[in-house]
Amino acid sequence: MNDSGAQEAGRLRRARALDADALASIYDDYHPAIYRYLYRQVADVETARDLAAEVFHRLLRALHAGQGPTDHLSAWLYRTAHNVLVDHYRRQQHRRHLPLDESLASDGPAPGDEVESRLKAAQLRAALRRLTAHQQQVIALKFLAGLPNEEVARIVGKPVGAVKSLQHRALAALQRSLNPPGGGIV
Amino acid sequence: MTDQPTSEHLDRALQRLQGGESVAAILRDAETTTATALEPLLHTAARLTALLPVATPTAEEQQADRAAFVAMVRTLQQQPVSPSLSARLNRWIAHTGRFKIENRQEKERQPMIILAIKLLVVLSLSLGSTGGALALAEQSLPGSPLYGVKLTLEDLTAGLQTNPADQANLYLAQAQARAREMLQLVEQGGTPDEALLLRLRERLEWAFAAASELPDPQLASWCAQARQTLQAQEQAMAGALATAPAAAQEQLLTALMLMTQAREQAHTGEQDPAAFRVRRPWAEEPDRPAPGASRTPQPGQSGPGQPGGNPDGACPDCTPTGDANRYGPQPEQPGPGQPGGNPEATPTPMGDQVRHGPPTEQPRPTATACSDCAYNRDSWMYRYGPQAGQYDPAAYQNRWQYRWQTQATPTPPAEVTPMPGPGPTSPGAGEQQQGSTAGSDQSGGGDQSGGGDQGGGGGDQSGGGGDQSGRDLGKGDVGAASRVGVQDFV
Repeated sequence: MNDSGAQEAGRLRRARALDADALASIYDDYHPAIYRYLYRQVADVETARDLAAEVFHRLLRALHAGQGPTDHLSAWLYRTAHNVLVDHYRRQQHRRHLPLDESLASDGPAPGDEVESRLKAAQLRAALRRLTAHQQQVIALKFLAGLPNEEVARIVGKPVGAVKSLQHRALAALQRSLNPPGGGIV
Repeated sequence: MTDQPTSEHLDRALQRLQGGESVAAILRDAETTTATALEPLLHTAARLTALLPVATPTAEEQQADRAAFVAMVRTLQQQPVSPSLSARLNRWIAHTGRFKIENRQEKERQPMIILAIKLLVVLSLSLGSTGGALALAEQSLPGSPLYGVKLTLEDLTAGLQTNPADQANLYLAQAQARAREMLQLVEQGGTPDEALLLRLRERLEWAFAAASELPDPQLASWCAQARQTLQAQEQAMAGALATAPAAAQEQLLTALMLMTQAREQAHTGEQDPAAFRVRRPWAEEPDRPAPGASRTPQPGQSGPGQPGGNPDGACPDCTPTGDANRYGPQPEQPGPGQPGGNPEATPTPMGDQVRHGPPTEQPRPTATACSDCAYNRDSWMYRYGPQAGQYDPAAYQNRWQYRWQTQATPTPPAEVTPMPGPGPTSPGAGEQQQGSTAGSDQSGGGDQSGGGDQGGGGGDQSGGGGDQSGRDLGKGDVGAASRVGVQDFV
């Protein structure tokens, strides 16, 4: 184990003892990435803030209960973020509506290309939600969080080869969803 | 025709795309057939870059989020650590498993636990079944397989009593139980056997023997209660006698007379405790079992006077008195009607009820041969014993019926319906016949001269003739019945 690994292990050990400094350090290091990961899927600042806060809240509760990550803190946080997101989508389904893109809901006029880009983003997110949970997770981790295959494999708990297969099927499904056989863009 | 790219081909192409290369550059390097299939996938992946821009919260919002997180940390630090249920369970399992591995002796504990559980189950079932059996035994009657258990339990219970008052009460209750059993048997059409009569008398005597150890006031009180109890029992027996089968009347009569004797003795103790002790027939009674001892004649066990019973009962340390020998003759002594007996003797089983005559007015004979002591103690068997052909139940019944009809007016001896003469008249008569002529009954003289003493065996040590003794006994018997009062039975 290299120095960074030893330091990370020591910080995690102190975090399991609910050391405030260690936990604050973890928050500072991982919260921005988790927030981005979430925002790119929900496209709403407040929702992303709430979901990110829920992720770190779950981390604290897990550590307080003697559970939580013993290593690979990043993987644990992204996995928790995915679960939080799934719960969020489930709640949204119960509400029978999709959240409006905040930029689309803004009152001010927007340039035409920006509107088009936001519409495309909304279409992409809608297409992503039609994927399976594992496909969504792999695409989000790989293309929205920019994680390597090994990290994605650790988060989803599958081998790297399985991740590549998931990635392949997810892109094919997403492509079919965005370009239906009848033509046009969904 | 296009070849579908493998996941590896696609992944390498995506890595180049994420590295900043264009889709066209990637497709140029790919094989033609594969590139055709890769192109839409790469364009789809490239479209995902539209999701990368992020609107970040303001700095204040970020600080607020961080402050909320730190505050939550502080809160959790103040709460006691309570691992979740699953965590505790996992730790326990891990601890248990580790403990088992580290301590191989733990493996032996499981069989022991199983064995302990099995023993517990067996004991529970045994105790439960035992309790049921004891409950059944408590209601059993003579002849039942559980009756022996009932008697044994009674003996054990009596053996645990050390207080004379408790012993007396317990023996009296057991005597009542015997009487109830007798009545129940009769109600069911059965006939009480001699062993049951023996047990009845035995319990009565043990009760009085225990009561004699009480101080005078307590003795008088106990005797008063016993008299009432016995009186009620007598009434029950008298009521059953009228409807009892002929075969059972004999035993009921015998039991009734035993109860009468006991009630009279209780009356004596109630009036004069000192006389109770002097006259008590069990003054030299060693038969009362010591605490813990079991002397209950079990069914099938031969008692005195019965085949296989103690025939002589040599008692070198016994000094029989008139009271002690009130029950009359020795078994080996011929009685009236038997060879060597007095043919004129008129024995009666009620003779020993006349034991309330002045016992000390006549000099008590000194025992020289005490071979009859044991039988004196149990001489009722000789008076009421099961000698075939020596008992006339009709005579008994007539006698008792006469007494009931006359309402127990003290009757002069001359007016008493005479008992059948010598011969096979009654169990008691048979016994008296055996001892009447030998004149070896050491109490006979005293009894006879006592004007109706309880030495009703008819034996006469002085050789005055067993017949005379028998007549006196008959008179005394009537006198005793008069004192008891026939009205008590009506």
